[in-house]
Amino acid sequence: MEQVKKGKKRRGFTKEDGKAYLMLLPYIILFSTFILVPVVIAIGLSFTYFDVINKPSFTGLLNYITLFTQDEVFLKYVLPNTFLYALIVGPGGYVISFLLAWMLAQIQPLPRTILALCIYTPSMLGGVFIGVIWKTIFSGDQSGWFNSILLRLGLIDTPIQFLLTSDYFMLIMIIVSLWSAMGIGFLSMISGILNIDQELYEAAYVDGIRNRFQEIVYITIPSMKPQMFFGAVMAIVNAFNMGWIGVTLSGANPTPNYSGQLITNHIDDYGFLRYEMGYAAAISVVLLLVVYGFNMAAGRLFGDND
Amino acid sequence: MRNFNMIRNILFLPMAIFLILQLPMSVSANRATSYTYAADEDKHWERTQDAYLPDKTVTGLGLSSPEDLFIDEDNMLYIADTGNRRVIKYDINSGQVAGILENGEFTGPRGVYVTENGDIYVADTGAKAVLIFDKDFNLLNKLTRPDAPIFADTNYEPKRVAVDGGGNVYLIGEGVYNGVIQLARIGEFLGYFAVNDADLTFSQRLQQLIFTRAQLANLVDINPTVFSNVFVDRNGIVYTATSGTHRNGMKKHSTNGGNMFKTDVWSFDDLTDVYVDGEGLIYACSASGYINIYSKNGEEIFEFGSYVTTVDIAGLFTSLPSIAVDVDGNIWAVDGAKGYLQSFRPTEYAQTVYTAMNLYEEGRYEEAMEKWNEVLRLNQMSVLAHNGVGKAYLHAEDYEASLEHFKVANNKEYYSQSFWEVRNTWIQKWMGLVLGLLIGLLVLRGIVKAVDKRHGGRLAQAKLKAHARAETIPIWKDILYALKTPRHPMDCYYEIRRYRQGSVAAATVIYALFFIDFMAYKTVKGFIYQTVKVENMDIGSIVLGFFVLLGLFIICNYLVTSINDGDGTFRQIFMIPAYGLMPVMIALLAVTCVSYVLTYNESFLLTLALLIGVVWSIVTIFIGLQTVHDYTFGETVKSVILTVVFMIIVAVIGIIISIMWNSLYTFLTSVGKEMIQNVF
Repeated sequence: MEQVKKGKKRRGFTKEDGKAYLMLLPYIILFSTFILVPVVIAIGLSFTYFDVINKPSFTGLLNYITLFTQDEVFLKYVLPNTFLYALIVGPGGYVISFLLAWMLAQIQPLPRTILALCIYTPSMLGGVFIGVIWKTIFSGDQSGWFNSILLRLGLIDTPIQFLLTSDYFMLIMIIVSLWSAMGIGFLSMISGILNIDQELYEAAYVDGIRNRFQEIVYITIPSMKPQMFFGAVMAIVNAFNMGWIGVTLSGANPTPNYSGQLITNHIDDYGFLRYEMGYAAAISVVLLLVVYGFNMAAGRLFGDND
Repeated sequence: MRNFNMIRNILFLPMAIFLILQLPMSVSANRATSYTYAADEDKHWERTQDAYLPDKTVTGLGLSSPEDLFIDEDNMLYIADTGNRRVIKYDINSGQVAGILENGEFTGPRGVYVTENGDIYVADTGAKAVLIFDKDFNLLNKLTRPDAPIFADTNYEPKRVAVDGGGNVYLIGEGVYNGVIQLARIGEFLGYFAVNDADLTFSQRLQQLIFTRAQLANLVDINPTVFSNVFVDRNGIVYTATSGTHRNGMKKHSTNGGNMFKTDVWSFDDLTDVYVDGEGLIYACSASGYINIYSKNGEEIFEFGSYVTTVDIAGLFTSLPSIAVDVDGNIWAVDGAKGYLQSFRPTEYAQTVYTAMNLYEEGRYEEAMEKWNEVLRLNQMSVLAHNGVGKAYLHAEDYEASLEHFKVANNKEYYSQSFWEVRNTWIQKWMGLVLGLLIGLLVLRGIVKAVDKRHGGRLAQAKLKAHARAETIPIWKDILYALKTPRHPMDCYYEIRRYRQGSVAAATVIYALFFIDFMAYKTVKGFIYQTVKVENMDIGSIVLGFFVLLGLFIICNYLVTSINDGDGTFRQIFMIPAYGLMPVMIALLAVTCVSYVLTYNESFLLTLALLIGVVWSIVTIFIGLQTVHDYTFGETVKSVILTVVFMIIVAVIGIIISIMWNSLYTFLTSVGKEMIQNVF
């Protein structure tokens, strides 16, 4: 391998390479205009003070130092909240996605398609659904379903303000997020499971596999590593980007007592409510690094490294 | 010394009664006749300095089973003299009766309340009305039974009364279970202000769930605990006393009737009265003669008083129906059976505590701290004072100093807050250095590796060799195998089944390590997370429980599987749990270590780590059982359930045998004694 690489390096830029780059050009243009350049600009902005009206003024690492030493809200609420949320919703949503996908793969095509659509819908229409369903269920007066049930069972005597107090807010956010966690990753897992060659299972049974669990561990998961990896990446990105759920549920940013404040809410708070774009950009860069780190870890776990 | 004083009081009081017959006369006693208690850091009552001393004893008012007291802003004490059908107005400053309110309609005035402008409200059970008088004792109004349809045929026999600034009247009615009756100024029924829950026992709850309506109708009615008294302070906040419960018997109500206290408030279960002074301190008394003082937020401050039947001792009561607090902070109490008044003067100690609390409330933290330190000089272990000093330091941002006090007071909530700040300062100070060192080490490692590679990788080879040498120590290799099992449970347990890996000796070592790890987790966590103090723990039963459970599981699983086609031998079953324990061991160890640097803010990390460790271990052990016994999933579940059932049976039999053994032992010894007596 190494020798081949070295050989290539020595050869220099040829006509063939030029053709290849030409073919790549549309992608490169699109990628750099819409992703690379904004990211680079954001990283640049994170070293400045920028209030959208005046010209950004360079402040060096000040934004980062402030973030990790002065910003009590960030250290006390946002960081622990984000980790708690991501640690539960990321792996939790991932496992639920896989299990549901696996179960759906066991049934007939028609009901499978219908059910898959049903399960996929919440992630597609999340914002609307949360407004309609979950806000009704957790409504803070006695007409809220959950309050009404608890009242009728005699477990509480005054309705609980589920969405306006900090006590249960994080829990509700996690429940709602798990409910809407079956997104693209889930679809790719279904297709992954359905594409596994059935003969593999038969061969495995001949070799002495005895139950479904062993089937999953020895055949299903190893045969769909790419889809699993894709699902993991989507789950991680999702887990760090779902801050809007808290805002939708409570109807306010910041969420009650910062109980559901995630990094993305914090970015919104500084970027679009206080117009401290430089600081918001610095938080985004931190978020980017965190997500990147988790993706690297997922890559090592599920990536195709055989 | 104390006994001598008590005797003096005993002798003194009846003498005073006989000597000065009819004149209202007050007598002073200077020594406490009962101990004062305060809650210690574990919420147990501990004796503390006297907070109140019996002061004046007023006899000769001729009271007959008085039931209620009230003191207005002019230091006038109103006594509902129920037995004599009158209300007495007694001037505390001069010690004279200032007036007697009598009215033809009185049949048993049991509750009295005076508003800020001097209107006197008298609740009369017999007359079934609340009579309102002005300050010159002219009858102004009479609130009789409200005719609102929802009030229906509810009993209307007002027992206690209170009035808020808007003129709304709060009534405790005899035999009313629905709550505090709230009337408008004109007597219109507004509704039940606050409601108590019916405390259901477990079996009652079960009955409610499964019984039919007909069956439920046959049961005795379950009534909620009833309110025994109501009080409204000058800010219009309603307080109630409830008898029949130790938990939340004393409540401070928000405007919608809910309880404003966030934490549970302990009280006696025979509370008769609650009273609030101008500064918001809450006084509650119980029929058995105890008086409790609470802060604004329902923290218990002091408790004193006691019960006495035959002898007369100042400050002890035969029955205590009511208390009131005058403008100087003295508590006035009335003995319902003997019909005399008794006042209590706060000691300097109590006054210092109250001043400190007020200063803190007003935000004068430095002065509050001085006062609290004064309290600490008097009583070094005062939890209140340590909390007070701690909070004052917290406000002054001297977090290190506050930590110490919160630790003594066992106030974990605030300790966690302070600790967060201390840790934050520490992180800010050292983060740069630690990060620098870390990066430096990484770079160094890279350089060493690169240099080593250039020189033929001797270091890497040496490392490999060391590993290989360690592998040759048999038990070490078998212990290390436990690290591999949780990651590849099926393969690893298959090896164990084939006797190719693992050993009983290694499993024993792992159990020993797990035991040490588990005990460390139980006993030496960081202050915030060590919920039960080591000295309050029953170490013996924890140790016994640990080994009995483990041993029972292994033995029972062997017995159950050997008759259910399980392939595992006893040695293998002994090894299965050991090799699956690593995740939970690592989790316990991590939690124990990390608990020293985490605050409540990050407690979810610990919960999560434990959860992952435990679930992982359980799954691993389950797979282990499945693999070693060569079971299907269903068979494994069945064998585990059978094992647990069998464990319970063995435990029950064990208990029976140990009880029988005791009886047998006593039987044998008595037979032996008989023999010794009769034969020799």
